[in-house]
Amino acid sequence: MWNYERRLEYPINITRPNAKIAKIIMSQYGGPDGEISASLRYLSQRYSMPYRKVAGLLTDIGTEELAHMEMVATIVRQLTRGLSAEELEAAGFAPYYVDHTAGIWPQAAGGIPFNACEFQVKGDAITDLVEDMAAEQKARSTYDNILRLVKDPEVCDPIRFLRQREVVHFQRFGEGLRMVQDELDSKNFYMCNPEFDPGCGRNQN
Amino acid sequence: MRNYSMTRPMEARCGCMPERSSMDSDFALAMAYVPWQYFDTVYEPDKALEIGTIFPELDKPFLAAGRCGRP
Amino acid sequence: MMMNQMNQAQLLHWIDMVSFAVVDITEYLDTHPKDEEAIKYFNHYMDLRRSALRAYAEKYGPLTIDSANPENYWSWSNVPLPWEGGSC
Repeated sequence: MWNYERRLEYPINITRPNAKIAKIIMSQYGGPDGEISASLRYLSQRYSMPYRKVAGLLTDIGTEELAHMEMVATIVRQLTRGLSAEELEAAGFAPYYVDHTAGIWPQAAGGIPFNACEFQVKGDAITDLVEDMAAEQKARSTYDNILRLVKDPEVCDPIRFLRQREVVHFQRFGEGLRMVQDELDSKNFYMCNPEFDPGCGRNQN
Repeated sequence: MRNYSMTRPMEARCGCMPERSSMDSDFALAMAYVPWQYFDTVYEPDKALEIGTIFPELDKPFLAAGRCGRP
Repeated sequence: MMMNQMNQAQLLHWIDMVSFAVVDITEYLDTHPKDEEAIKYFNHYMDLRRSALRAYAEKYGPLTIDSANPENYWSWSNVPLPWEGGSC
């Protein structure tokens, strides 16, 4: 279960609103490779993960992603707070504004609403961890794209932090995959799915 | 000094580096392998928070974006 | 600087730093559960985090339910929400 801590994982204090860049950064909130997608992916995959240490890893990283979701929402909020309707329109923010005003709603920068099609829970230990490694790379690439466009240090500092966490998580999920491999027969990792097939382990014959 | 290993951390601490050919035979085809990291030096906490990790060997900044904020 | 010399912003920054060390080492320990150096590191920063949360709660109100005590519990709802920073 979860407790809540009334602070951000990394401080965010943006004093200069900028709805134009908020539109872009929004993809890391409700976009396909964003923090909501990451947290729901890992927190959903853990239930059927038969190896407790790996389920624990999915839980801990999934929980950290919730903190990142909060950070991205905070960035978007502080970038759009206090602007008038005309200012939002001039920044290209009018289509979002008309449906959500200056509220925070999960969608990608291009407008596609967040949806479960954007992540997978395959129910196969190897597949899910490889999915997670891909997810961390996709998030990192998205942050790279954001960093090319951001000029304000108050914005790029937390973005750089979030990007670095993706690199670390990739390493951890890679190690999680190594742990799953150690539980299986390396002559054929794919002979069965340890999440589903009875007796699927290192001593298969 | 390497702070990663293709083999488990305890084996790596013997200081022996696997030869290329034996490394290939340890790893089955059609699978992905991330090297094991092991605990070595760490950043001081204020630098670690700023960068986004306590581990210098995982510190991989994006350099193609030009300067913004931190030098 | 000792904790009792820190102002609110400095103490919160200290909590951010030691808590982040705990987060990063926790994920490392999830995949390296027997690493004794890492366990020592975790225990060290976890102690610092607990003391810092207690110290913060006494002066400024609790950041976590676990660091609330009966005298200051009511201030849980007065502690600013984390996204309130930046310009007002």
